[in-house]
Amino acid sequence: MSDVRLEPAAVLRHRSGVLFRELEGEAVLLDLDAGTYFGLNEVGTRAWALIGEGVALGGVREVLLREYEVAPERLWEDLLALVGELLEHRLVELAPL
Amino acid sequence: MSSISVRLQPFSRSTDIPWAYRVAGRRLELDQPLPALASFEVEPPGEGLAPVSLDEAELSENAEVFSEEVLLGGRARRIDGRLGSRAYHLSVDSAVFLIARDGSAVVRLAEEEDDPALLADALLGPALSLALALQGVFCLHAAAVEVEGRIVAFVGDSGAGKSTLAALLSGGAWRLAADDILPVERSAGEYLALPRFPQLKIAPAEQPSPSLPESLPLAAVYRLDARERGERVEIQPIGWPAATLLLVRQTVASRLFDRSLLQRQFDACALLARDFPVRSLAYPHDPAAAPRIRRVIADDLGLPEETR
Repeated sequence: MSDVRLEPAAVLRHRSGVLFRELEGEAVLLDLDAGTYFGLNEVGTRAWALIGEGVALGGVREVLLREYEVAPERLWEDLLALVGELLEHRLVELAPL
Repeated sequence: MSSISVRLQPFSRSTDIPWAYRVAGRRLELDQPLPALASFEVEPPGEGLAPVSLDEAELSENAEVFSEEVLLGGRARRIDGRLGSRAYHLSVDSAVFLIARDGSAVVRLAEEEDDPALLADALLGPALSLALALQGVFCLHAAAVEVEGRIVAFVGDSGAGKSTLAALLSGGAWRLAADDILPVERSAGEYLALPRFPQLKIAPAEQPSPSLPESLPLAAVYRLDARERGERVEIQPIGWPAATLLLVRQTVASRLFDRSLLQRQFDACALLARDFPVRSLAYPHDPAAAPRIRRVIADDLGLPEETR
């Protein structure tokens, strides 16, 4: 798990060299440099898109809460877990201030 | 692109008559015979060896793509892959090759006498797989059977039972089409398996029939999930992301691919997973279950009664 501290104000971005392919709301990612692959379910795909738009994690949480029926605490836990994996696999990075 | 020129000798001449083979829908022209390809031999062209121009001196920017020890031909081998401007530099222990960026040629850089077994394993394994991938043909780690003119492929991790299942199902209307490697390409919107390919892990007498057509439509790809004896045979759909990841991970030699080829492979697998049935097949590892497994697959694919 990444050592980055994830707070609602954190803004991340897609790392360059990561390919994204989407079909019917789900997606797969390919890290061209590492040659590794990663799958995203529908909510993960939506979060990926929002991260790519520069939305802070707190904002991503709010959008997902509006769009999906899930308890807020559960959503935040799952979002942090997803972002942690994306950081660990070097598919996203913290955006510079 | 429909041919691959292979030069294993340091001093081949244009007047030499090549040894010609048909493999994975491609014409291979070699400057020496290769026993492992004996069943794929075809009439050589009337003219001599085509000129091949690949020069190691042009590899001025050798970004390392891959360097690892892998199991090849039952032995641990060191494989290094480096991409140059016009060619790919591939070494498998002491067997070193240049592969043209368009996959049209493979040239051995001979500095010492190679062990014939190493040469065959290296050429017909990573070198040929890479050359085919550069031509848009991706090889799957798969066993396969042919039934009713279509190919049914089985994928899974090593030890999942692919080869055993394909061999078990072969007989009657079902023919063995692949033991370990199955080349696949997309042509005119159709997915074709190319079963005429040397299966290096099995003896010559056990090879798929040389009467198999060069290309056959792919009917389905099944990921194998082993079950205990006595359990049901079951087929379940696999979602698109999981199917895409399954196909990319089961692509032969993909760790040798540079960024451009990785992207092409990724897109090819994503398309195949989108357009094509990729499912899980859970079955008991029991020879007595073969009739049941055939029936379930035949039902899944809508095959005629006489094939069950």
